[in-house]
Amino acid sequence: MTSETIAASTASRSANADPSTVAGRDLRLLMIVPGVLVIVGLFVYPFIYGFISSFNPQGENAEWLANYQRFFSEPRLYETVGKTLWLALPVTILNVGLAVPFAFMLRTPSRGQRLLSTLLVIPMTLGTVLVAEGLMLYLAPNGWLNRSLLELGLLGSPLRLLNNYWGVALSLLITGFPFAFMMMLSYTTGIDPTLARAAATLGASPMEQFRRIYLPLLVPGLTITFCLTFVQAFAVFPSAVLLGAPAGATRVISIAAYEMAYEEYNWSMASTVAMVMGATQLVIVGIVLGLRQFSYRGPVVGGKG
Amino acid sequence: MFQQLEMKSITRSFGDYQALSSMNLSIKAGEFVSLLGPSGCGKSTALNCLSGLLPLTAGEIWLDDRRIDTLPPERRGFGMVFQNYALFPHMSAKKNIRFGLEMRKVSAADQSRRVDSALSLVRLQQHADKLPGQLSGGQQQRVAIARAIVIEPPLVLMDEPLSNLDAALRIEMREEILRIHQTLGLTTIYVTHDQDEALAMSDRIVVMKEGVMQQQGAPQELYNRPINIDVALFMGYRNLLDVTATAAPRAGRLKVSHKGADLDATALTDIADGPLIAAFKPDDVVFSDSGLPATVDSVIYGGRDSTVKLDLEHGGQIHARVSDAVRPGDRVHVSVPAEHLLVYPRPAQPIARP
Ligand SMILES: Nc1ncnc2c1ncn2[C@@H]1O[C@H](COP(=O)(O)OP(=O)(O)OP(=O)(O)O)[C@@H](O)[C@H]1O
Ligand SMILES: [Mg+2]
Repeated sequence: MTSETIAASTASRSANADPSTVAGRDLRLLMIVPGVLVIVGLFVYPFIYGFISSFNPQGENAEWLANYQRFFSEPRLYETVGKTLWLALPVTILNVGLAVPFAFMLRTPSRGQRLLSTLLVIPMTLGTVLVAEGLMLYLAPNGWLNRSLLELGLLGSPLRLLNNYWGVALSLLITGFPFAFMMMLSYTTGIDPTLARAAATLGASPMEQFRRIYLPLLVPGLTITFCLTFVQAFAVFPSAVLLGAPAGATRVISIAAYEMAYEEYNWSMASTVAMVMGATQLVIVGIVLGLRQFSYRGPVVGGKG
Repeated sequence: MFQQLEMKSITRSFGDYQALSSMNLSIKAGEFVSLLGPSGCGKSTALNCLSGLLPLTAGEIWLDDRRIDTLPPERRGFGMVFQNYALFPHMSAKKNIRFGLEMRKVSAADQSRRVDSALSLVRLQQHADKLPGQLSGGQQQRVAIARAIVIEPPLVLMDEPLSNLDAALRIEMREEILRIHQTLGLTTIYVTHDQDEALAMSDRIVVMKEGVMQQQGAPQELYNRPINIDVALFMGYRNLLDVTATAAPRAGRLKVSHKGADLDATALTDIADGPLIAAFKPDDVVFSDSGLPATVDSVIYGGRDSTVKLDLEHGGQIHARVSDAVRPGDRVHVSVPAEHLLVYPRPAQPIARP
């Protein structure tokens, strides 16, 4: 750069009051460039790669749709979609359904709220594998839970909670609930508390305050929390293998993808499974977000600031 | 309806801090009572205690022969207009107003009739179906009032409902609130920190400071005969002079001296010996032949009268509102009628004007 152009650019800079614009161009847009690069590099590129690869089956003169035909004709592949949904949907509904009343009851800052939040964050930070290992000890036929229930005389014979549906569902509950609770807590505390007080002075009982004021205002947060909790549960892998029946009831879709990639070494077929997985999630998320259109989605404070 | 609301030494503490100490107040049906005081003096605390949103630390509240301080807010049924309106953002103006009637299980036909009449009372018929976010500040405020009064509460509590509006709208809404109060024969407790508002609207004013009720009475009473220096300073601008009593002070007429000049003054309560402070309004200053000698410092012409700043020869500066024509530099004598020159014990710490 010559000294003249430097001088010119300083001149144009100082001529403009807003430092984020140069010669009328908004430079703030440039700030999103690193973010866009990261998203393209880490997300869009692998996605497109996988998408294309799923239509390029391995083997001699295979048709472009061969992978998808195979997926939807082999029961041990297409059944994974239903099995995963059968795990992820009820668990997500339960997680979010439990998180809402808990968040409502603990919405005002208190010692109880801090204690419970801390307790709940622990399973989130431990990660799914550690939780699964803990549950293996806890839920085993001679684990604490069964022994306590047997001692108390509540059970005649031990409950079978491992290597089946219930073990995985429980682990998803334990890892998913804290997440759903923390999200719902932040949505709930964001709602102006004087709204419920106003409802109280108008004669609304705590139950009605929840139903008429909090719940409608929580719908947007509820749908987002549902989607994120669902996507997490849908991708379940470690606990389905460790606690479930990976060849039977909890043969989830991620197991199928793993098998294709690392047992059959069929990269293209693994991509196909991943595409089906993504499409299923997209459909559920789309339905939930579509339902949200019918609810109120404005500010959650009552009037002037 | 009821005859009398009685607060008996109601107290509310937050930790060690008493936000409301031992307040005694009784309110008759139909009264418009203002709670007046500086920010943080416990006005909202008092209202929240009355409505049931804050439990009392001590004391009792009686509505005639019914004790109500143990009831939750939804069972007291007082209408409340919140400092920030607290309109339900997901409901239209109409649904906001209808809410209290639904909670009371009023029949659907009655609901519609009463909502419509409340809407017309606050002149919002055209805006009935808008969400709060689509209404102007003044319109939101009127929805908040309509929502509180449509349930025909025995008592309406208003927490600084006009504090966020511009000056013109504030004056207009003052009249609107008074009109509604009178039309419906409501009993209203109105919180404000604006003494003009309190003077203009109230049957009775209660002045508070740091959680303690200082004085209550008719607006004229508080304006002309403030019981202590805090109330005096809160009820409009007053000149202050340091004085000492020339005889043992007691309630009634007394002689005081300001740096050697003798003045006739009035004490509203028995006061102890010690340094005193004299307070008087600019309107009560008269130019006379005798009195304290002073020099005119500046004159602000204001039409019917002028505000004159005076340097007293004995020391100190005062403001006077007079209709006499004077000019800066003129030498005059000023006096204040004894009944308007009020003396109080001088507080230890320097006086801060509100
Ligand atoms: N929840 C609380 N915890 C602790 N202190 C509180 C709480 N609520 C109020 N206070 C204190 O009580 C005092 C009175 O508060 P209050 O809200 O009644 O004031 P106010 O007279 O309504 O003031 P403003 O005119 O600013 O609304 C204040 O000093 C405040 O700090
Ligand atoms: Mg207040």
